[in-house]
Amino acid sequence: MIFADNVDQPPLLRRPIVFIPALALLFLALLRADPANWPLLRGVLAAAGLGGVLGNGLAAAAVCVLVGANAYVLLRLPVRWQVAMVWVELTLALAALFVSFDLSYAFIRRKLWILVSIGLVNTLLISAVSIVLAFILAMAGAVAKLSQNGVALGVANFYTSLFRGVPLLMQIYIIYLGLPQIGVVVDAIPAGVAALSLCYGAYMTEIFRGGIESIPRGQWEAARALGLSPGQTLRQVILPQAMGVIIPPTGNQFIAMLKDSSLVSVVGVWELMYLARTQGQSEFRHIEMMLTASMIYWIFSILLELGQARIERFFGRAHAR
Amino acid sequence: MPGETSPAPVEIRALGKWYGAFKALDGVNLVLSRGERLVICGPSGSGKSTLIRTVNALESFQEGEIFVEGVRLTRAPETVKAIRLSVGMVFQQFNLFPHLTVLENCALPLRLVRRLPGAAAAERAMAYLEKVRIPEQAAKHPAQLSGGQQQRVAIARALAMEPKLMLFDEPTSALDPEMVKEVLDTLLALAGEGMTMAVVTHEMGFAREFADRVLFMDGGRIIEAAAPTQFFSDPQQARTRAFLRQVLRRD
Repeated sequence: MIFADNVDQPPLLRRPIVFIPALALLFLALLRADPANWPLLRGVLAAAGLGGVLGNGLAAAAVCVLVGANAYVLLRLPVRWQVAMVWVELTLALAALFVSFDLSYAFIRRKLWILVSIGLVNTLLISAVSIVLAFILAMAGAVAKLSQNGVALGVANFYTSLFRGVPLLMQIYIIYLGLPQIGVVVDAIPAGVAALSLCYGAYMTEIFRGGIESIPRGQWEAARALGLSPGQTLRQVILPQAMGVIIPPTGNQFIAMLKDSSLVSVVGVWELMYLARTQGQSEFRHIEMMLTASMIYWIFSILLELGQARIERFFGRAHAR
Repeated sequence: MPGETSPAPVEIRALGKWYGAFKALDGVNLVLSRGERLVICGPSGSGKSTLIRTVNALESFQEGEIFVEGVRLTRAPETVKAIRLSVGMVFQQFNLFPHLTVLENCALPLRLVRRLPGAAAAERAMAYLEKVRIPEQAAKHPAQLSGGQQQRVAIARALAMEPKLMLFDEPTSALDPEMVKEVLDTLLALAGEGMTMAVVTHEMGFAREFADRVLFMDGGRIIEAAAPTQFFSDPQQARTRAFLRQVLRRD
């Protein structure tokens, strides 16, 4: 959280200059919208004998009052409750959107096991292996970039430049389709893992380098004066502290990688996105499969976020004052 | 002299160092003898910190020679390691490892460098924390300690490696005034045990009480070196007198 001042700034939504135009815009938008979109409200109004323009206006006004009342209640809750309420309301809104798609839940139920047992397992496998390899590559890349050795520096520079500069999709194609040209035949899953690790390792190299450079020189000097070797200094003194700087952006990378692993589907790996596309095709139930796969990605991203928060707390403890 | 039966802890001959075109050290000659307590003072930028940091290879130099315990300092890893093992150093900013507890700060180098098993390392680390009178803080992290306590931990960490001499680079300059005394008292206690010590400091009252010899540096050169009684009562050089007028006005 931003370091709080001891001043009660009025929340944005409580300022008339914000909420009056916002409600006015909402009212106008609802007035122009088709009341058929709100069957429940229309039914109530029709039962009361109110239709046409007057009915529309009343319906729009009713929604505006509901939205206003919701905001009024929300602004008076403690912060934790506000967060929880917002999550509940936005989740319901998202669910309402999905319900309006008229999905076949029977189809989802029938296909869910295939998506999870093969697709999700492969997605998690590919992501987990790639994350570990990317971590190792990034560590090596960062150390090379910080070294005085021109060869190591050159290799690391070239590597990060190439793999950050070329689309991940192309990297997958090149490794899967290009390498056989020189006699190296790679299976689809190893090719995907290689491309993901190389690409994310290149991004994470910069994160690791920044983390290592953020540690004050005095830490290096103290370790050296005590006789620690360069490797001991890095492993025991510098990296444990740099982790506090490295973890938050690395967690971001992991979440992004989980979803970028779907690109591996282009070479026919039976991961989550591939199965979602192919399973939906048989009965033209694309939306069902895509939404299900998306929700599975989201759930696992949330799990990664929670894991990241735990690790951040673990590495942040030394700096607590 | 190097090569003789008992070499001086530190011998520096015609030492010269440049930062680009700026000459930070200029023809410095210095012999530190066993058990000697040397104080180095001088205005900021005079090269006093640079001088003691060249002794354990935290700074490079271009001219002259340094011998530590008779070993000539080169850039060879084994030589540098041997010299760093015989030299303990305490920094202005303490430079404790913030991710480790106080005890782990002292025990880590014992395990990694002296190859002591964990229990023996912890035991020796604890003994040195008792020596600087803060064993009760052993389980805390450095950030939970006052500046004076942190600096005493840094002294214990260096001493636990059992070096043959100790270098102090402005050990009280980053401290609040009320914490300076506890650190200087620790240095005085150490001096009482015969440790060879070189201290860069602006604390002239301490220098008078502590030192066998006071060195005044300016412009990368040693301007004057004398026993404290003579140094403070009858300085020979005009620059020394000007410097002392400046700093003693504060005391």
